[in-house]
Amino acid sequence: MTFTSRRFLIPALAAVWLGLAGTGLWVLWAYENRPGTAATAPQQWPTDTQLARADGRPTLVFLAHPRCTCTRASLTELTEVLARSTTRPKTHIVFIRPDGFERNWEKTDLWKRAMALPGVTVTRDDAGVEAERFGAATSGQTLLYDAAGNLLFSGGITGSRGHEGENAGELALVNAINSGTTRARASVFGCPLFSWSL
Amino acid sequence: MIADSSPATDHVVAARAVELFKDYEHEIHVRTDRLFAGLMALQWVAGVLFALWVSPLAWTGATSRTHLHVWAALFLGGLLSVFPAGLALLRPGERSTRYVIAVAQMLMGALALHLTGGRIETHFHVFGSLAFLAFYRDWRVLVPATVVVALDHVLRGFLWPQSVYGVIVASPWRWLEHAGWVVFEDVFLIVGVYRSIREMRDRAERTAALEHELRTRAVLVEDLQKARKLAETATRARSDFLASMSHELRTPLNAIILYSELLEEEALDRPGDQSVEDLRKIQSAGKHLLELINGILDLSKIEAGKMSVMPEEFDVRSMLDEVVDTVRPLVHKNSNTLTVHVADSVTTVHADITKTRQIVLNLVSNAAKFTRLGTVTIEVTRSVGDARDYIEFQIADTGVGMTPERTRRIFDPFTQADVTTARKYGGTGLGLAIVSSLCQLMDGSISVDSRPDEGSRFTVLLPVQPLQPADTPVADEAAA
Repeated sequence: MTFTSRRFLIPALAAVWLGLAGTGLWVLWAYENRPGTAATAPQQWPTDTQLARADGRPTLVFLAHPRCTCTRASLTELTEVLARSTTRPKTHIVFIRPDGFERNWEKTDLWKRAMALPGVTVTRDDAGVEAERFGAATSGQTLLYDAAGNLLFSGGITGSRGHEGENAGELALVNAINSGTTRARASVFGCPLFSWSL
Repeated sequence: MIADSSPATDHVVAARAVELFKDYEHEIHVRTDRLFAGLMALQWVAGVLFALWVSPLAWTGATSRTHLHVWAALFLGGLLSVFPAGLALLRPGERSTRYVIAVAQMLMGALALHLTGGRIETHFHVFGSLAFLAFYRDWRVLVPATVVVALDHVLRGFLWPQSVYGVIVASPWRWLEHAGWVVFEDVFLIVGVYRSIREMRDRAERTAALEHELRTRAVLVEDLQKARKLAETATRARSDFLASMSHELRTPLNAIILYSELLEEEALDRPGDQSVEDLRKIQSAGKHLLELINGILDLSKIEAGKMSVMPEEFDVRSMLDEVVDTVRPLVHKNSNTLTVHVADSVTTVHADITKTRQIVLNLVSNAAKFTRLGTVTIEVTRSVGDARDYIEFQIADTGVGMTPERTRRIFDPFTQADVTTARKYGGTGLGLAIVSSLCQLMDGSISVDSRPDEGSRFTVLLPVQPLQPADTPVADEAAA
């Protein structure tokens, strides 16, 4: 190896290394910031749902995959949303359980965290029936209906996949709960709830 | 401290200080490189384990696959760790190595943020990493690290502002706020690094100066040792020469004195023989020469370490009587009065009687010689010391005395109080030097107090018992 080629070896290797590292991080950023499929939520509270809607106050439905690690951040943000709400909405946290899994498959750490939230109803959704009724396709999908059953908010409450922290969806949801009238949508980040497209 | 501040020496010390400083720097860089190599490996393993624990699988309905975070921790973490760790191990201390490590460490922070879901706590990785990078004591390393953080914020702030600022739309200059906090830490770290470097430079300068001083001292010590060896060799040669020459001189000289005495006796038997006076002059000159040779012989034996002490039990009073008998004619010759006081506590001592007698006799003879129409006093007492008892001989006279300058040199060999003294009073100038050496040899001491025209007082302290008989030299006096 000549002196010149040896002199440029380390900078060249460093450049390649930096390029590969940048690409890897770019892939991660892209993955985490790519929104999941947005819900095609009914504008009115679905009549066929088994979930109970509250009278005189908003109802919040949070649909999640019990084993989606990204949903941990969504649950953290949901806790934040409920804490910042002046009007406490009736809250359902619905964990889907696809067919073919054993009993208590859905009883994960997410389930336990959800159960620990005060005033929240945690429900198992066998085969994702309720999720389909609400048109949800991505874990962390959050829907808010007003006291009259009109859809106020549909979207996710994290800034990116699995990332905690204040974000547009969370702020919009808090605003919708507190105002009772503002309608908003936000991107949802999380695992697909179904193996197929709705 | 040996002061040698010539420009050439200063230049050498300064050059050595620079060399030492560079060595210290390199040592720190290498050590920190190795620390980071370990840290990189640790972060890689920790990242993989964390991903496997927190997000092992990504789910799509009923199906699952390995989560992207696991692959990212494994491959991207590996990529970020292996290259800098490899450089740290293969090219430790190189500037490019620590720059790559700085960039890698900050990118590792970005990866950690992804793996932990952007938790605010993970941002401390950035600040901790900057502090760790300051271990290099090279402020320049903080620059690429800070640039990576700033670029990350600029890029993500532009593409996905929510992921970094938590809002959908952020000011295009918001990255400056975040980078500003990083620079805030950088400032303190740089100040710390600067101070540390200054201390390191001071240490290098002190070490260089110390090294130079040690080298100079070593050369001096070597020179001194050589000179001492030469001097010892010369002294031994001189002593050997003097001893043998004195011996060779004494034999014919004794013959001359003896024959001149015989001739004098014969001349005295022949009335009117004019040669008697001349023969007496020959005897006097011969005796003086013999005295001188004996003195030189004694001194050379002492210097050569060939004079031994032969302690024995003897009565001090008896020894003094012998001395007084010997010196009495000389005392009376100058019309002096001799007084002897011996304390009751003075009985016997265990010492070399010959040398003790020689000491006292020499001092009393001197006192009698340098005093005219005066008094010579011998006082002997016993004094108690810390470890043992001493016999103290004080020989005082009311003679010519000495000035302080002359008193200081009185025990040096070949030194008399005055150049005219030898002419006026006779003597070889060796007597007191020999007395002083004998006192030291017998583990004793001698001192003098004298005033011009008032007289002198010599004080000799000799131990009543030697400390250990084995302490005395064992050289064979007869062999000399």
